[in-house]
Amino acid sequence: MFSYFHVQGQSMEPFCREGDFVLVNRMSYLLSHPCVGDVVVFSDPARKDFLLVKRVARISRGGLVWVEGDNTQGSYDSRTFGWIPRKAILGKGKVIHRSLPLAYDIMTQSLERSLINKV
Amino acid sequence: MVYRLFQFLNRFFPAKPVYAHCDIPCGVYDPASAHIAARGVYAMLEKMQPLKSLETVHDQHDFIRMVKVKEEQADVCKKELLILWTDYFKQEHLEMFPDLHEIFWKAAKQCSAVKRTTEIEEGKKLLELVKQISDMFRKAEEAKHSH
Repeated sequence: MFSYFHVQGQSMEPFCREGDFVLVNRMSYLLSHPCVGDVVVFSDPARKDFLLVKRVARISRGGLVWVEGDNTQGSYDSRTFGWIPRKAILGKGKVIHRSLPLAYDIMTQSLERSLINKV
Repeated sequence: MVYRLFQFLNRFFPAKPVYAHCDIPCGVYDPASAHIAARGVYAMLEKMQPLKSLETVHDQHDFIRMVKVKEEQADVCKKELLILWTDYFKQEHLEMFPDLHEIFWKAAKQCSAVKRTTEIEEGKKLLELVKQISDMFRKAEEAKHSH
């Protein structure tokens, strides 16, 4: 039901860095739909045995999902391979950060963002 | 804290990789391709050594082919080295190998040097530099897996 993976690559930085773990709940999308902002693990459309980790950026009405990496410098994601079917998604991922300061940075950043939004 | 727990679990049940790739997710790097190209250059230089003069059309034809292959293999070698330099090696490797840039710089220049010459010594230098890079690659891979 749960699987965990080791992250390789930089396309999810700064949120998720190489060496972090991702805990995947395979049941997460059985009853609910993926949401924009979810970190998901799915199989690469070009090579099925490769698993990728990205963030859901858009969802189509037909159940297709558009995924993008957080790293704006470049990422191999839907901008290259297009929409992915929902069934390609293994599940929603929870990132287990290696370094606390980074997680702390993100927490404070999102806090700042929510404050700015309120203002 | 939670990370430690996963690290501990990972020892007994190793996690599969999940890729957050920045480009085409091949992730396959190997200095072997640069090494083969460098050996190709060396082999051509070796073939040129006994040549004294190019009397017949046949000799000239063979020599031109040797030069052509040498040029091509030197280009392949440079290209393969640059891929390793710019894509495979990262900041952390600079800490492991402080002279990494120096070695790659010399090796890339040597790929051009072998084009300009028929001296076998230049080919040897290229092979030696590629070997140094292969050693760094092997050590970097070992460090990655022991991590």
